[in-house]
Amino acid sequence: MNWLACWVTQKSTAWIVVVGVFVVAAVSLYQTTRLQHEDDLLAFLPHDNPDVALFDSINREFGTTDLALVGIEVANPFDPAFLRTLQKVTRDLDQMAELNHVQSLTNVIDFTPDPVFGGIVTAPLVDQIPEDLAAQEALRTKVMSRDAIVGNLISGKADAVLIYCYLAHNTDPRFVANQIRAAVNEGFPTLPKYWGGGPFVSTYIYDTTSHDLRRLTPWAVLVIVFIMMLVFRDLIGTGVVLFSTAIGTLVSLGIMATAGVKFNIVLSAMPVVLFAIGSAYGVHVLARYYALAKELDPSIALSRAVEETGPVVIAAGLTTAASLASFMLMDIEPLRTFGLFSAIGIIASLLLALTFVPAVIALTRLRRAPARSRLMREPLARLTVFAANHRVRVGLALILVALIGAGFVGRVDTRVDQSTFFSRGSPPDRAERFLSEHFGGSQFVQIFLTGDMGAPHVLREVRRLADQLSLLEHVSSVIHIGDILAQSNDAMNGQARIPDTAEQVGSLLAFLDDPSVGQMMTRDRSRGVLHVKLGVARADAVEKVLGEIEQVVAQSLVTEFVVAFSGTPEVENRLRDVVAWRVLALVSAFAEPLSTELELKLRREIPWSPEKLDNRVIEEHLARFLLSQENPVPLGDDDVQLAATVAQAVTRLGRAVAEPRLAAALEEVGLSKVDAADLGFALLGPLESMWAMQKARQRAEHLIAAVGIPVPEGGAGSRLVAALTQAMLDLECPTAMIPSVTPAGTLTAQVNGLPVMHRGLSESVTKNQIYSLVAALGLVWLIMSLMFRSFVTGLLAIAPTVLTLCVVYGGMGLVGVHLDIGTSMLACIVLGSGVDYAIHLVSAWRAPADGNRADAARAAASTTGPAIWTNAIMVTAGFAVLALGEAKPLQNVGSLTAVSMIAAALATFLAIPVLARRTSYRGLGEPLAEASKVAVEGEAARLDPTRRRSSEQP
Amino acid sequence: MFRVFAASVFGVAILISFASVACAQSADDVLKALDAELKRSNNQFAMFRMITLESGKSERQIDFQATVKGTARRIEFTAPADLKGTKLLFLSATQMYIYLPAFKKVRRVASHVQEQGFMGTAFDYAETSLAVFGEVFAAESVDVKGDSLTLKLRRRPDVDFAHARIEIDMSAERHQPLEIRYFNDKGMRVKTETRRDLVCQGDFCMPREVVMIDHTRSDLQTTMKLVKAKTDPGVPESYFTVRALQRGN
Repeated sequence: MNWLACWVTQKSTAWIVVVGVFVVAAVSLYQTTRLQHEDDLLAFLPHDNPDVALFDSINREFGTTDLALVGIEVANPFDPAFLRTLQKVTRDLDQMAELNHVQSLTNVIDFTPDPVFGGIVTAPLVDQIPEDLAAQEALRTKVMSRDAIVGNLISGKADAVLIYCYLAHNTDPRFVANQIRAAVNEGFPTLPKYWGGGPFVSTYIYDTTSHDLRRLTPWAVLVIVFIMMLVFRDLIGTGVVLFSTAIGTLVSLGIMATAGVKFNIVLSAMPVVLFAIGSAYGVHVLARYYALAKELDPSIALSRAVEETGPVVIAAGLTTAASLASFMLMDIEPLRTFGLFSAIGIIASLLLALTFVPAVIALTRLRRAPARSRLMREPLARLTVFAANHRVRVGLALILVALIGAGFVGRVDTRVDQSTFFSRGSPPDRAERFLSEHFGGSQFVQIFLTGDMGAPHVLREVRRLADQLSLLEHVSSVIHIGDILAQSNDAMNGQARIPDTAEQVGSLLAFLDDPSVGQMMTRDRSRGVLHVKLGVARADAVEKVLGEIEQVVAQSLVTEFVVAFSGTPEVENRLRDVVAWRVLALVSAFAEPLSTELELKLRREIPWSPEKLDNRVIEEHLARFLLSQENPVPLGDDDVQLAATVAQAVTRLGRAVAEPRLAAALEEVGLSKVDAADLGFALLGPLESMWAMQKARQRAEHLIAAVGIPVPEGGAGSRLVAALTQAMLDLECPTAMIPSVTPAGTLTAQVNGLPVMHRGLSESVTKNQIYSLVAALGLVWLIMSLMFRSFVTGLLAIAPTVLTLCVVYGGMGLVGVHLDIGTSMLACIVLGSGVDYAIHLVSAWRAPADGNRADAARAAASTTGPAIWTNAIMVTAGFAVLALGEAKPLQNVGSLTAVSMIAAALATFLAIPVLARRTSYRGLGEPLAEASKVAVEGEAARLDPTRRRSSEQP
Repeated sequence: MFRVFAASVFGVAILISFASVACAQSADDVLKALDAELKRSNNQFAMFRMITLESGKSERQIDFQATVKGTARRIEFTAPADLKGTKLLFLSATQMYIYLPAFKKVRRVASHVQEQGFMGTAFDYAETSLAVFGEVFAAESVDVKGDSLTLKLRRRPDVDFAHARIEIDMSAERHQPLEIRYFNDKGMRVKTETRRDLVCQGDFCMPREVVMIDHTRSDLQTTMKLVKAKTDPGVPESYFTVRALQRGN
């Protein structure tokens, strides 16, 4: 250090250093301009965590976070002006290259049976814009009767609509979110709008954080400059220290760019962290220089300042760098990057503090206005001496504080939920509330399925699971591929249920051109996702329902099975169970959940089968078919009588009649041989459907009566009865999966989604916190022990920070601040910078030859107190400014770090005097022996003018 | 959905079967000639392969054969396996019948759907349902540049149609469309259709390849390749009935 002190204070060397630093700064600045940015917030997921890895995989395969939701609150969504604008906005959005598909009330396709000509009529749900009140009312009635639409595209109270925007592959979510926002705002400038879904939420988090940092960083730096100016009252000195810190930051960013590492949103906070912490080294050198320069020649003072503060500053810098480097143990990539490059920035700032700062001082021979540091020095000295003189009382008080803090540490909530990322009342929070209130929620649990998703028995089991899950409290709906297949089957086959054969499933899937299918099943049908919509957002409620979902999946899903044909008791029991869950889910959706007693009754009644089917209904349906345009053998223009005769003859044959017998019966009623053969062939499918439907209808009616199922009045009641009829059809499925220990097929399920990801993130944050803190504490203790050549002294140096951490984390537990990605960084930052204070104080802890611990305390506080408090106030002010932003993570980190640094400084001046057992410490303290003497003498001289004069003698 | 698909396939089949357009001076004349030729292609059989490329997804292929006679049209899918044997009978602009072999029954589908894609391809009903351009568009101008013409059409004010404007590049010699560009209300090009490698039988010409790129869906691209074509295949009227569809004749 002597060599460095001599070397750097020579003018020629100083010039070399200054020029060299400017060259390095220029190169770093150039490199920094090439720095690439990483906007993807998913990069913050701990990808080593299995839950998070699965979430990531599901997102990539099914694009679950690639859905942007726009909610619009409107008094009358059937108003023609509103519908016209919605139509235009939907069309405009749909034509954006970055969106694969857009769905709203105005472009959703509806189908209805054609009672006159047979078959179905497909048309947009909003086929025509209603121009008068009667048309509006008719449209309202039609739309509100579509169960798949209500709660998804329009709210149950018809006071809000939702637009679904499916992002194209590999598009920039921020760009798309802004485009969508612009298009919707243009269409609906005055209506309340809500922006939900991954793209909007991630854009909000990114934008608010980066906006806050852009807006607040200059203010934070300005506050730091102001404080330094206030303390040093020297523009050049202040400028040199801050400039050296700025270069340290630039060097770090330049290395990042050279290494091809991308700049992320956490790294945006690095300049503030480096300015706040890294400037401390220059501050100590400068403060020491100013102290010595009052008594000595500037060049000697400078040399001595470097010599004396050098080891201490190096120790402080190394401990801070080690603390930040402990981030490397975290499993979140951006945090690792932050830790590594912040540590590099600290080391760079440290080197510059010991080279560039002295070099500039040497060249400029800095002087400053008369110091008024007694304002700070004297109270600090008194405080430290008080603690040293009242060790027991102060010690007990500190232990009490630590214990109270430690008691509350256990209450720190480690659960991560949406509130971790945005504040109450923020746009994403309002969107979430809007979606919960009008559309049953915005949070989804995904159940990732692996199996043959094209097999009807697998699809039925998935639907059974969905039905069972839909009965859980706080589950508002469950969406799966079976829903879409049932709708297609209804359109093509008149049965709103999962088809009976794999060929039928394949045939329907081949025609489905809906992006939502891709969010539920892979194209090769080997994997699928079941989306469970939750009606709650609070972490505790979400955690509870998540646990219940996991329990249902683990306990009830048939994962290993054989496929058996109907006719055996196992198959019948299995099908009855499937139907029972379907009925329970339907009743719960249309009316209210059945009690346990009624559920048992329901299960008892499900096997009931009618002894005789009502032939008249079959005849009616058959006659209608014969008169429809679906009949391949027209019976003549509106020949109602012939149709009735044919229907009667065919119905009389009963169910499952063979084709030849059917043809013969048709010939008997007067059809030609060819027509009878063709009609007989054509009737096979429809006739079987009619018989099955009639049996199911009678079963449903029996079930309603026998169990006492509450059927609501009006359209909802009719739809419930129809849905129950469709459900009863499944009792006659030709196959079913039976659990088996020697399986022929498997179906696996893994519960995932944002709530699980939050849980994974929470585990990761807790693990990271423990690992990094233990590593940082260990490293810092090791460095301290080496520096002070004593493990005990090492412990002494870290004791104030441990006390600080107890207080800060206890405070977090007390006021309910969550441990999250941001706040998990706190411990290491506090440890790194907090230990600096202890190092400086312990290093200066040296009493005069005949002095006691109180003298040592006074000397240490007088020597290092102003610099420590200057730094503490600087860091506090810098981070406090960040806390003024909108971004919740920045608010938490900013305010907690600000409080922590004041607490750390205070703890240092209380805990060290209490714990220090000696009047001096070896190691780093050696060079400061003389310094302490100067400081003590300086203080004495100020108090005693005669001593001052004598000390000024040559 | 099914209606859209059938309409689209037949629309494509019609649109790619342009015959030569008589050399004309004004935009209106060129448009009339174009429409007249469209109406001429009424007795054809062709086999197509449709390949769709979508960013981030694997290639998809659909094979089908189409038969046109007068206003009746019928198509039958031959690949992939899920679609094999599926038949569509298209009797009018809004009425079709579909036969799905897995269900062994014919379903009548009456559709009033205007704007929807089908089966994830770049084609959709809007541009392929155009039997003739003149019903929807009015001629705006025609530019002659050497051997090529560019016909610019604008949507008629009283018509509800997705594309506000289209431009058709064609050769001055044969007057065959080489590229069709579709524009939306804001003047943004939303689709580009390119026709390559013309094959002619008598005065009837068809491109061997039509490439449609949907710029609104990350440049989703569908290539429709003509595998085989035959004029006047000799199909009886009964081929275009529900009974034939059901029986598989």
